[in-house]
Amino acid sequence: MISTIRLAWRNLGRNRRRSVITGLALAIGVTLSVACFGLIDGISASLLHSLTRFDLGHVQVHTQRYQETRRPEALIEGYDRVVAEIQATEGVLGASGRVYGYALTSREQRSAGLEIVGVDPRLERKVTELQTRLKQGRFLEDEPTPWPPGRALTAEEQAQDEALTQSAESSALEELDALQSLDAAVDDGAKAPADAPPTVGAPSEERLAFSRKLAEIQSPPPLRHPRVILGTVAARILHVEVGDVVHVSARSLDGSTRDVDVEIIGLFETGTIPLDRRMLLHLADLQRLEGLGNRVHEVAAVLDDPNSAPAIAAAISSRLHEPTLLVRPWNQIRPDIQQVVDASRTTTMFIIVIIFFVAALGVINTMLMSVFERTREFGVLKAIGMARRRIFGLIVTEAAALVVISSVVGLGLGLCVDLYMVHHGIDLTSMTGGLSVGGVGLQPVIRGAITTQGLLLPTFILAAICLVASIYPAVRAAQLRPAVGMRET
Amino acid sequence: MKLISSLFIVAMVVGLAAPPARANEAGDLVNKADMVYRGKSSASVFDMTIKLSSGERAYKVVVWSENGDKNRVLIKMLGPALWRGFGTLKVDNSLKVYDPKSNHVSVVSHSMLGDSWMGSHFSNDDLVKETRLDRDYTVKLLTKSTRDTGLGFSATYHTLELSPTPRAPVVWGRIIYELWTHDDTTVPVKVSYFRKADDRTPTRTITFSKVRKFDGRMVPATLQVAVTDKPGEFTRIDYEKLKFNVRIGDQKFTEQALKH
Repeated sequence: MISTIRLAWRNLGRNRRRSVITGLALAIGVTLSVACFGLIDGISASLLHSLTRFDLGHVQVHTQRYQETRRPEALIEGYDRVVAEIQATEGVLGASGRVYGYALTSREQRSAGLEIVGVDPRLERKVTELQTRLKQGRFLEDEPTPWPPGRALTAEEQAQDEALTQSAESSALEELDALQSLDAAVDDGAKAPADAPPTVGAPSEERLAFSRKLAEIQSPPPLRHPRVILGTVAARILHVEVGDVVHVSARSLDGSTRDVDVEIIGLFETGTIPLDRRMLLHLADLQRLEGLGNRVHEVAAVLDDPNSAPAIAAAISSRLHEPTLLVRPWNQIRPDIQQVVDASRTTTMFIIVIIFFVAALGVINTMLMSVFERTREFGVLKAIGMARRRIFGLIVTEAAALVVISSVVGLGLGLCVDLYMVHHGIDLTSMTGGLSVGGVGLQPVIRGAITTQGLLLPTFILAAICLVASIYPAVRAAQLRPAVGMRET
Repeated sequence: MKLISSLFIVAMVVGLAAPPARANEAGDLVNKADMVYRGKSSASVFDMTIKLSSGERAYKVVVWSENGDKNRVLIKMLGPALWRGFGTLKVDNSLKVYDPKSNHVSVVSHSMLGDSWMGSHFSNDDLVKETRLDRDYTVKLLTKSTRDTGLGFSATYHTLELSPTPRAPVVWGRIIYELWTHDDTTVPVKVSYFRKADDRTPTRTITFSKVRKFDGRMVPATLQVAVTDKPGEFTRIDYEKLKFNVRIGDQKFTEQALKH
């Protein structure tokens, strides 16, 4: 055996140039494959990170109805208990409730319908990394905006309110009565005041002020502007910066709109456009604005191992023991992203197989050449009694030696490329707007990922393909008839 | 033989000519009924009652509208206190809303036209719509009968089916329009809106009742919108005063008037 290896080694050294070139081709094949795996795994990891750590979390809880209809009244009851139960589940790093809403936001002449999201900054910090994606300003404050509660009007105030409505109504009726018919205006053409019929009984300042007071008793304004952070896309639409005050007209649960001015204290950018079109504010502020009480639309949890999401989702579900609540891991919420991750792996495998197929042809070529060159030699070896098996073994060993050396060199080089990608990353900021997959933005700098699978899989595939490729030349050599071989020149 | 063939031709001509004439007539009917509250211009005061599963509330509202070359609408809330002074102004294609508490005018973007107006079962679009039913839909007469209106006279009741023309920018797949006519008067009775042409239950219905004279016109004083997937909920409008074809100054349709 040892002698076979020594012999094989010497044979490789006979035509050094050819062996080095073939070996180098194989080594570069391994390097590229390893780097390819590193990059694809890095992109997948970045994609999952963007998805789960900026928005989704690894596991989410909704009511069955919210998942089906997205109706704002499909709320999770007993929010505190749900969060406590999730936090107590093993493997959970943090859990946080969110409230969603849609609001017309405007500043000066610009307006936009935005998704507004209420988050609890204290809990959210453990779930998402939004606070690390601030472009400007600061993150939401832990305490909600001081906002006194309202009360219903007393009977007396109600009567006063009705009186105000009646007086406004009678002014309106008077104004309607004073209107001239379109036909009448034709009769006394010149005389008719084309515009400006007198506005009858315009409400006095006191009445306005009193009306406002009655409104504020029922729905007092916050003591200061609620503070919000805004995605950069939303900020661009509204043309606003940190420090600006934006008017928000939010739909409350009873269908009416609640208006409030909010102050922008920070801008964030995740790279995912729908997320960057959002406005974030304190959970309690949005609950107040939408009239939800202490209820939420969603609870998101982050785990120490994302791969355990399905198992932990099941564990949470049985802990909560609430049939109306739906607990789902991220890959059930976004199966498309899971598919993208799986598909990119498969694609990489295909590319690698193609690379190695070409490499295998090189190996066949090299081995065949060396077999044909050495026909005489093999004839002599057989004539002096070398077994067919040993000749076969010799050729395969030559191929194996080539593969082992190239793999080690390729693996080393590939690891270097991987390490570079891990430490420096590939900067995508030059590409306008960055990249996104399935609407999920990738981080601007993509970092490679080193996985055992990513390193060993290409190496083993190469070894397997090359050894298979060496079989044919080896069989050729082994089947040589000594007399025919020795006659060759 | 000659006689027979000429009769045949006459029959054919009549046969060909009759359906389009009837279709036009049906379209006119629907259009008239749809414009029942509008005229060239109109001004009205009404109560809007909104019944939701979470509770009930009522607004008193004044509306000014012009339906000529320019379609302009101003809506002001007269009470109660929580909503007094809120306004909606539509001029051409822009829709603005005013909030007196923050003294702020916001422009409603196109994407929000389908949203509910002030929590009612009307959308922003409903209040400011310009859809001409006879232009966007083909109208077909389904049934016709004479019945007592309950107002001391009988009228001809029509049930009409509206199907959108192929490229009409409308949201409904089918509309069933019930109305009656008497002399010059055309009054809607019930309109059922179907999301898709083959839906069995309507997505929403508008029912008109309490027909009486406003400013010389027979008009239903009450209309009620119900949405099928929210049973028990409705929005009702009770007209208190309606004036038609009145001269409304341009200054009524300005931001100044909206804030006033």
